[in-house]
Amino acid sequence: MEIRHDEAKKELQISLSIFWDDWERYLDETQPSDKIVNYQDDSKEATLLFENYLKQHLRFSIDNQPKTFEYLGREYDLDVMYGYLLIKNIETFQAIEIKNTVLTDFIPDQQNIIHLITANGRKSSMTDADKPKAVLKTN
Amino acid sequence: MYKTFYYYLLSSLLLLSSAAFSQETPERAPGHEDINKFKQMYDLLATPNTFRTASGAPGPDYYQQQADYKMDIELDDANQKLYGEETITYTNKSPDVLEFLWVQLDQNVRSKDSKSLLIENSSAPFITTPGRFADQFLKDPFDGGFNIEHVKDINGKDLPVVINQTMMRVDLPTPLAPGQAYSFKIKWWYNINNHVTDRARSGYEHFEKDGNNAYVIAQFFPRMAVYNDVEGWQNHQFWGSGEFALPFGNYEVNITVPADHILDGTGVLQNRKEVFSKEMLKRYEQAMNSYDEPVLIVTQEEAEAAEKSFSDKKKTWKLKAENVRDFAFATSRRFVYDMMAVDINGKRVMAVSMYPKEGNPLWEDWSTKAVASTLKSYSKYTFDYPYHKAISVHARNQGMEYPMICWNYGRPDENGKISDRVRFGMYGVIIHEVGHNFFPMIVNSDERQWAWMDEGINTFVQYLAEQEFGERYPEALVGEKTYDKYPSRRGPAANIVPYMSGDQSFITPIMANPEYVRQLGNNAYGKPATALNILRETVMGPDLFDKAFQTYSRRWMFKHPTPDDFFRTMEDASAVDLDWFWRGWFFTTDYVDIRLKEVKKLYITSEPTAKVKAFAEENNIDLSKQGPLVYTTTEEEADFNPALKSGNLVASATSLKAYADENLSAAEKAKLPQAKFMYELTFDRPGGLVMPLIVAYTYADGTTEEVRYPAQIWAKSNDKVTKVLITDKEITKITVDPKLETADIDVSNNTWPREEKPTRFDNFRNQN
Repeated sequence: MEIRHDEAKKELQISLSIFWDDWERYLDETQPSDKIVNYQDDSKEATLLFENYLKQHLRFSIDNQPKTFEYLGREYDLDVMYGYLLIKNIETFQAIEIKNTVLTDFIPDQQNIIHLITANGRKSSMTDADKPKAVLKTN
Repeated sequence: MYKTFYYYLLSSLLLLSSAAFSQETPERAPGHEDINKFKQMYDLLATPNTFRTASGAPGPDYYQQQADYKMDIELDDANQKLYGEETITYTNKSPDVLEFLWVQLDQNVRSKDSKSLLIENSSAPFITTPGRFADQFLKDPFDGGFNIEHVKDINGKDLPVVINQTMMRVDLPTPLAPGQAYSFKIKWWYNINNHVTDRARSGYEHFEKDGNNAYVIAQFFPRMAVYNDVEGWQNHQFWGSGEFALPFGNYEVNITVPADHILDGTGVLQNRKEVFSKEMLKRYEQAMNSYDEPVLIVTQEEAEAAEKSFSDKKKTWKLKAENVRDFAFATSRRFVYDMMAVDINGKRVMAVSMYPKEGNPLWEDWSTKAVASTLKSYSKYTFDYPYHKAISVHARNQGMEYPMICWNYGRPDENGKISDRVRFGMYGVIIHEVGHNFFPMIVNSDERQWAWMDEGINTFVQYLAEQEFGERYPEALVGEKTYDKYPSRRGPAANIVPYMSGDQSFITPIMANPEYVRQLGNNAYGKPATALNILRETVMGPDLFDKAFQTYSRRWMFKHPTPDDFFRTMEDASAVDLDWFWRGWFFTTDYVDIRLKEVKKLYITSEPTAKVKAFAEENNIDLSKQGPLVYTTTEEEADFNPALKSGNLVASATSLKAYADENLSAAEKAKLPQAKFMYELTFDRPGGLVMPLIVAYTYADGTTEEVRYPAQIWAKSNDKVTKVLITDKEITKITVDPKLETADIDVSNNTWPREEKPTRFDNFRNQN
């Protein structure tokens, strides 16, 4: 996951990627088998499923204030699905806390790497099933 | 680009900079071993010997063992059991006396008390289905290990054996001397597993609607282990990830299955007239002469009719294979079966596919053509495919390779829809698994020890073969989207960046055993394939690379190469020193990050600049006594004289002009007006890997020029490179690795002036 602070626009631009193999596995394990969601189509049903999943599995708080995010959409290539999120009205901040349980709920050894890019440079951290929270400071 | 003056300038600058160094009194650093990136690989490679030479070829004493098999196999379809009786004849071609033989019992990885189960980590999932929970935590484990009924000598006398997990030691009554052969018999059976639910390489897929099974059966019989000059007995246990090490031999195999099954496998079918119907024989004759389109031997309608009846009669298919390292087969009454002839340099090879109807329409359209295209491409880069056929069998969700036969995934959804992911997944896996015929089935490396030697090398050739498949069959690239070239997953340098820039604690060097490497797919497939692709396209060039790669393939076809043999041969046949490349890419987890650190635009003058004067004063140098000198300056210096921007470098320094007038040839003088701009570029290397430095210069008139400096530019100073350029046109932009050839993990530091590239986020937002 890459979180980029755009100071001019006062927003956090978030992009994340998930391997199709992993996502398909999630769909296989959780969807009724008689109802096949066409994984790579752009139907409302398919994208809503992804949006809801992210809303359940991602929490952000900035300087200890919980923030909601807007889901902008997704795109995909042959192997990877990319999701785009936005958190608005963010001027300067000291720290962001991310709780990320994406994929770790059904792939126990999944690790999610997080990069934060601000005017002060680049910071990285990682979350996994044992440690779903990460705090990244801007300086 | 115009560089004549570089050396003159350099020597005068050196005069000053060496004076500067002499003033410093650094603290004495401790000594160190050779840490240069170009250090030769004597510390990493085995000492050459008479088995394997320093040039990477088999030596005069090279040997390999032979294991011949005669087997009678029977499938119990109703109960999913497999029975076998085999006679192994083992020929000791080594110079050593063998007291015992090791036989591999790979199916024991699936015995209910397998130690492989004990080493599996398990953790409670946050969310799962009741069925999966029960399978994982409540049900008794499936017992799929070998039941060895007896091991006897050729006269029927029991032989003492010891079974240690997946390895069985057969103690010989008398030691086997060099040159002797020994025959013995093993009788066995086992419960066949469901490879779909098990995610296994061998087993059956069950079709609930009609109650049928499709079998893809492999590592199903006790097989001889490899004995050689590097490992002795390769009896490293089969834990599941490290694949196989097998000697070559000849096979005669009779397989008895229900009479309504269609079967194919490794080897030449000996009794086609007994097992094929008249109609099938007729179609087979047609297929033998059809070089463009596959001919259906069994149609989908016929397979659908067959799935409804379960014959209680039996049929025996007799196969004979020479010089193969393994044997596998597939059988079902549900198989559609097609074939097409392929011309490999004048020799006819049959490309064959077997698939349940669920694979259609994708499989009837593309499987056999993908097989044929693969055989042609691989033959071009290695050697002519030596076997008479190559079969692609459709299995639900796995890809796995055996001599002449492989299993491949790629199935349309229930409505017949084929996503691009399924389509290119299917092409890719067929090309990959058919390609495995070359590596490791023929160039027979030790998969148990080195996954990359077959997977990585094969994935590299797969990339070439995929691109050629796309060129041969442009219509295959039309799916949901239309692609103008085959979208290869692995091969292009940029595709390996996410892996190589990842968290170092989850990366292992390529030269590691597959049982413990992290991220096996990237480690053993993606990274070595990309490394070889970069080696071919960027480091060596296709001509030198292809000849060397072909030399490796031909030297080691039907033999057992080691990594050293590969590394050495690639240098031996090309005269390209690659120790730095192998050391960096294969023995470390270093990554490429080459940075354009600084660009200085320089001017030259005969007038001492303030900077020079200060330096001279500080060091007690009387500039007037030094003879004529040339000084460089930049616009940023306070006393910069704007007149220097006249556009003629030499004219702006009278001392240089005078020297040039006196010393240069007429031809050299004629070029002087072209020397207009001067730059000093500094490149450094935040990443550990040295690589060729590829730089694109864009000039004010819009033209561009690419200069490729060999990797050896980093030889003396591994960390930093400075280059002075004199040009006749102003440079407006400089880009390192403009075509993303080197897997540079951070290209944001590759350009001057620095460029903010739009992020993926920006691109998405702008399009939506």
